[in-house]
Amino acid sequence: MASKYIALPKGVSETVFDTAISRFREILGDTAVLTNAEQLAPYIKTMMPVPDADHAPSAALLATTVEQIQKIVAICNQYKVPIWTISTGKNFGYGSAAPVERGQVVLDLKRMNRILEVDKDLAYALVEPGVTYQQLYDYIDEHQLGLWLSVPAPSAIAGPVGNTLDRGVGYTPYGEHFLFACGMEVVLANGEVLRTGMGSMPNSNTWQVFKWGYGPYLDGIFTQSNYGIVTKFGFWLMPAPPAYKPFVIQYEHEEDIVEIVETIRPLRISGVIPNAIVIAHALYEAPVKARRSDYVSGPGAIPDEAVRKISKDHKLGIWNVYAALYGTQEQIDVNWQIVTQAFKQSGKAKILTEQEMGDDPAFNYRAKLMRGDMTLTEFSLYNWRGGGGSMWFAPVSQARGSETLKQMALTKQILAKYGLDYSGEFIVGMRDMHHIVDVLYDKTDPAQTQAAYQCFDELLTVFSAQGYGTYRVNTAFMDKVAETYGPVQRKIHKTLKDALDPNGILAPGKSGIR
Amino acid sequence: MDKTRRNLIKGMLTGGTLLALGVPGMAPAIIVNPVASGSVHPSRLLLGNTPISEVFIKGANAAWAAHTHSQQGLLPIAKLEDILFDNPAGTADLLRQPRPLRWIAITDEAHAAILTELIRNIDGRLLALGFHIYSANDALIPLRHRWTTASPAYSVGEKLATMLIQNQPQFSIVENFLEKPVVRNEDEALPIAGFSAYRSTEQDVRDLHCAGLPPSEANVLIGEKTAHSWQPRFSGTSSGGPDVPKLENWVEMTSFALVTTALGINSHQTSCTSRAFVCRSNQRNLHTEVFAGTHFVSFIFDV
Repeated sequence: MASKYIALPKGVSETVFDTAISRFREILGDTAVLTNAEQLAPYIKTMMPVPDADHAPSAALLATTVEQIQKIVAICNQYKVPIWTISTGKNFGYGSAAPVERGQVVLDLKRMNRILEVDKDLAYALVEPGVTYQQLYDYIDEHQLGLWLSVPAPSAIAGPVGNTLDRGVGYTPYGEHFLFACGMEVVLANGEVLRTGMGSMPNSNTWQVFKWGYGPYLDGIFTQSNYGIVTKFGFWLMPAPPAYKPFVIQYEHEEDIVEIVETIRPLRISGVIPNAIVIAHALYEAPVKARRSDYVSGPGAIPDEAVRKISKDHKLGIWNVYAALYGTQEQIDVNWQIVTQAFKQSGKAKILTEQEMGDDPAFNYRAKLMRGDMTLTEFSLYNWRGGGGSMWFAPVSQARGSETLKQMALTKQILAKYGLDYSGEFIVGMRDMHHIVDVLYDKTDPAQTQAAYQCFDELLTVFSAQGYGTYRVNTAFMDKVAETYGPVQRKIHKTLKDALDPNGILAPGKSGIR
Repeated sequence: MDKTRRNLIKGMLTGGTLLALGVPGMAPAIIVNPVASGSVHPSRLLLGNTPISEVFIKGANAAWAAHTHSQQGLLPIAKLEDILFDNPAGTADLLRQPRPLRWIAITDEAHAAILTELIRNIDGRLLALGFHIYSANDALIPLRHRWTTASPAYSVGEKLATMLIQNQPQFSIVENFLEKPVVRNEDEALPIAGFSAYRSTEQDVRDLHCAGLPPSEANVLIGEKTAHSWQPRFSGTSSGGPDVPKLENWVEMTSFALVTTALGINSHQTSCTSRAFVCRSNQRNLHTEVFAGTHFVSFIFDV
């Protein structure tokens, strides 16, 4: 007999699930409890090299209030139904909106989308999980608050809560997003509501201005985790600078990454270049202007010769360093002199500003991202090869030239073994580099899909063996990455999980924690 | 709604950025009378940023004409171009405007990733999502279609397979159905012209239709990791090919099949959780090479 659900939670019978669904409907109403295949289909599509059916939810719940969420977790505890919480669900290349395990119920908080407060003077915001960057951008613009956002590449359609909780990054001086988080409200698995930091104190007005509160700092345990459901989130915004100067510095050889990083590091640590600089490989930028099939056909990774031709044809460097200066014009003038002096020393760098780049589409979207504007142009990556397959490989590197070259070469070598291209960039942190590689493959091609899976697995294995940790990963490989951080950390994660969520109802499997 | 978005929609509805090709224009929803072969849904074509839009329109219009007896003019069309990159919220507002409406959309992969999210954001119902590629890298099966559909009711594969087999030497179509099927009387099912049919019932019910190769090889070509025990089905006469107008290439055929399904024209349904059609013959058809390297994504969704 056919089931009325497209999937069931692990270990939950259809009869028990029927009861749980009825209870959810009592709380949320019929239209906010989705069980039809066509309603759930938009939650299922992933870009990972595994069957989408492995990540099909059994239902989706559209909650709008904290009280509803408290009641939902009570039902989940009663019937042992696991839920997978999403805010806007735009975790592209990391699993999108689909749950980590088949049958989990998606708790979709897109309708909890109130901007609760934006303080112009203290430059902070307090928002609900469904608020998108576009919504906040429009609000700031409409109220002329003179504040800038820091956004990840899916900007407009993503939101600050989900991105920060998954420890995503942006490209402004506030690009390390969790560094600028300040205060959360969290519904715990037992239904209690915790406000972190100063928020725990009744009548406090410092929740969004002082991060630490008193005692152990708790906010971190609610990021990349499954210990609670964040329902309010505070973070700091950047005052709009009086002047802004984006620029790109192009280099012609892959080995130049050593010089680039050695030049940037002191400028970044000292704050001369304040933003999260991007060092993008030509193949990361090329999809904005070309398609792979314009240059190569047949199996195998794209040859270096073709990459050089693409660079030449489309006025790209093999490496493209996107950075910006912010402040008064006087500050920018002084810092520009320091920057150009540093980069000109070897004679290899080609320094270009808005004046020279004109309406170049690659430069323009980078310039937008570095001032927190909305653009989805980076999605062009998905057109490079076609077929809808994408996984972000995201190891962390020291901000040291020799290390970045080693990581790049190793990644490229492993990708080539499986016939895949190196589409990578380094996002410069304070002392680290987020090495971000889009493993693009054709998901309609079974052989390439299998190759992509094996390739990603090997990347994780080889990198962890060399001491390179991955900071974020898609839902198909969470257990594997958790394993690379060793048994003691896993045990602590498990201990916390057992204490805070003894029935394991909150996203079991997230970050390998059950 | 902010000013930019309001202006965008105004522009779209008055024939600005988003073009309304055909009659009777964008603003009014198209209400189509039921036709002999079943009721057709009020529908609209949404064209994203792909180089095959004009070819796709041909196939879509052929289907529209065939199933509405040309009484309704042409299928209304909206063109998005690059708007999704710069104004996704405006696009979402546009999709919400006329309800209820069935959208048939094609985009490139980049815009498809965004459109899928917009459909979820506006509480849309995604009936079928297909990836279509003619890969110059694959000599065995260069033309591949992969669909995830809510249920077999929105299956496009059979219609497309019966057309492709008449002029396309190598192709594969894989369909995954989210909804568990109601097992129905096998006598209702008919063989499909040119294909040998097989079924596996080891875990879920899976159907495989092969032309020019045995099921064990087809199984590998569609990426099945399990070596299923495929049991032959049907020994009777085939149902014959579909009665369709002359279509020139696989893009037009895909479009025709997609629009036919979207219009709700009845087709043979199946009672499996996944179904594949694999054809590998030695024939050569020059038409296929016109669209070598082409890839796009299709949607059928309701708002």
